[in-house]
Amino acid sequence: MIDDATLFQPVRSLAQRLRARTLSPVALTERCLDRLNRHGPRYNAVVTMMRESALREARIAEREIKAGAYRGVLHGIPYGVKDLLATKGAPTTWGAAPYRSQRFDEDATVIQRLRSAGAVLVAKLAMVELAGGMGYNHPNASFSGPGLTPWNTKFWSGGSSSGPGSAVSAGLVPFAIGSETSGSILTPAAFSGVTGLRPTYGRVSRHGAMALCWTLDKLGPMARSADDCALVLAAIAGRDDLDPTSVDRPFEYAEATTPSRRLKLAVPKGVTEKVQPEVRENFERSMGVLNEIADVTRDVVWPDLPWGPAVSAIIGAEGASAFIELIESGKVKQLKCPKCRHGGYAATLIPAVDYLQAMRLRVRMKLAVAPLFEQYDAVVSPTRATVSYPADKNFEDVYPGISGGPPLIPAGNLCGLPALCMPNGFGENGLPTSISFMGPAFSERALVEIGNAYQQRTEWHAQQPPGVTVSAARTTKPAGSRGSNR
Amino acid sequence: MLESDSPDVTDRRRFLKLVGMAGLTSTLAGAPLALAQPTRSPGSKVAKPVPVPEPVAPAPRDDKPPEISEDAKTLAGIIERRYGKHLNTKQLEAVTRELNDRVQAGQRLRAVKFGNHDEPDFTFKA
Repeated sequence: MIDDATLFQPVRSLAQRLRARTLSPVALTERCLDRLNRHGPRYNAVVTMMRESALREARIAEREIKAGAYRGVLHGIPYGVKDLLATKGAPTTWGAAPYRSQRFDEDATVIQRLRSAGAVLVAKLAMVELAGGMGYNHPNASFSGPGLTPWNTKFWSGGSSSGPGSAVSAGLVPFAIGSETSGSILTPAAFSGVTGLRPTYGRVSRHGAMALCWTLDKLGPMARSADDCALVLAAIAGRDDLDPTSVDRPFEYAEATTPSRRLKLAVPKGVTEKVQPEVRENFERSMGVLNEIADVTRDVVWPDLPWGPAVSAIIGAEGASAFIELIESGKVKQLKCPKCRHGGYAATLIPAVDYLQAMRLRVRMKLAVAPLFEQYDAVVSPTRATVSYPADKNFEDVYPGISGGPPLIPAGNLCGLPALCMPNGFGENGLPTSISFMGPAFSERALVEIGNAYQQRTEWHAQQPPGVTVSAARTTKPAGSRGSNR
Repeated sequence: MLESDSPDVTDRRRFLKLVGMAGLTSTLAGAPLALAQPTRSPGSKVAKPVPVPEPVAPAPRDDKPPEISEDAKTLAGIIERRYGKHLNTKQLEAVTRELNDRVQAGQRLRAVKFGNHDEPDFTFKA
């Protein structure tokens, strides 16, 4: 019998046990399936269980490992995917009622690559309908119900990768694949208290993924640690002829390395001025830890450019085009969130000139942030200005006056930059807070090494939500406390 | 908390009042150049955030409802003509406010000066 604690072990530890055959891929998969069945509904985390194919894949993994044909650290590791990745033999719903019966006859490239690495797909996980492309303003924006964070089920797990966030957080899967157009990996990772890695645009093939915005969509891992995210990224990164935007930049990663020199980190001006007090306190404590490995420069001026209007025009125009049939037919009425039922119409009238102005601006935006990354290895900030939002309220009705300062999430996405976020404490209502590191294009290794160094000095990533294990008791560590490397 | 989706005549009049064009829709229907010849809205200065796929922390609320620009009203007429059968009055009002935000956002984008040689950040390949 596999105990609950095993389900919270990082991928690297599970891999060691699987390779040593002290842990069976079939038993581990069965345990994940059991937990997904038992706990998944509590968080509205699961859309489709992949029981049959998962057990088949797990048996293959078991046979191969027994025969000495070990494929690598993901061999025999169960995982889930956001339900916008095409999966042969199962529905791919995009979180939206009009697509509940949709099926594809091939697997997304990311799923194919994970299968090649020996990983076992156990579930398709919940998401905000159409990845939020119709402009949701409420957590209840999915036919599967509002994603709920395991830390406090009266609150949202974040979007749009809601299920990946809560499923990893509650120990239902060791890792999951999410997607980000503008914040959809970082936000649920922050609100669910897990580690999320948004790769550089083009690093990971999107073939087989729902398109919301061709020039912004990215796929990336959500897991228990930076190390785990890197192990997953190594399996899914690289050129794919089926996605012309993918680039030939494989990501090689074997050991949990840390920075080999003292780093330079930048904190943009204004990132903590108007955030929740606990978010600020936790960020400052994190900076105390990071001071051990880096020189930190405060109040770095972030380029003043129309980030918000640009990302809005691009997502609006590309999203309206991607879903024009749904909008014009009126089938958007079937969406769950009232705002999503009309959110696409205004976007159909975005002038092409506005879209092109925004696309011209992206050149200037990349040029504007480039000098920052000549001076600094990464930009550091709270991931979100607040803890999670209540599950039963519109976003605009909570946390008035709170702001994160410069819009780093839209900016990072417009420039195609990678970012890594991880839990760094707790705030209101027992909910997790999070810290983010953003670097220049293709700097994932450097970001992961910063994350490894931080997580080797802290234990926030190793905390377990209440009630998810038989013996789980959250140990909110006192400020500045440190723990072993897990 | 879910809104009704069925259009209602009284509500429709309320929408027309909001956009200030009761009696104007038939004119709009015959004026396809309305988009090509927009009227500039003098009062719009700062663009409000418009929806993106992640929640945006709300700005401090101003009790005064934002003034709807002439451009937004004109565009709302086009939306009503094209898609009115799918939208109730509340939804049309919300679309009008979003159009207003988008018009202002567009003005911010157009305020950035570019040289003729500044190309968009994508490359067409033959």
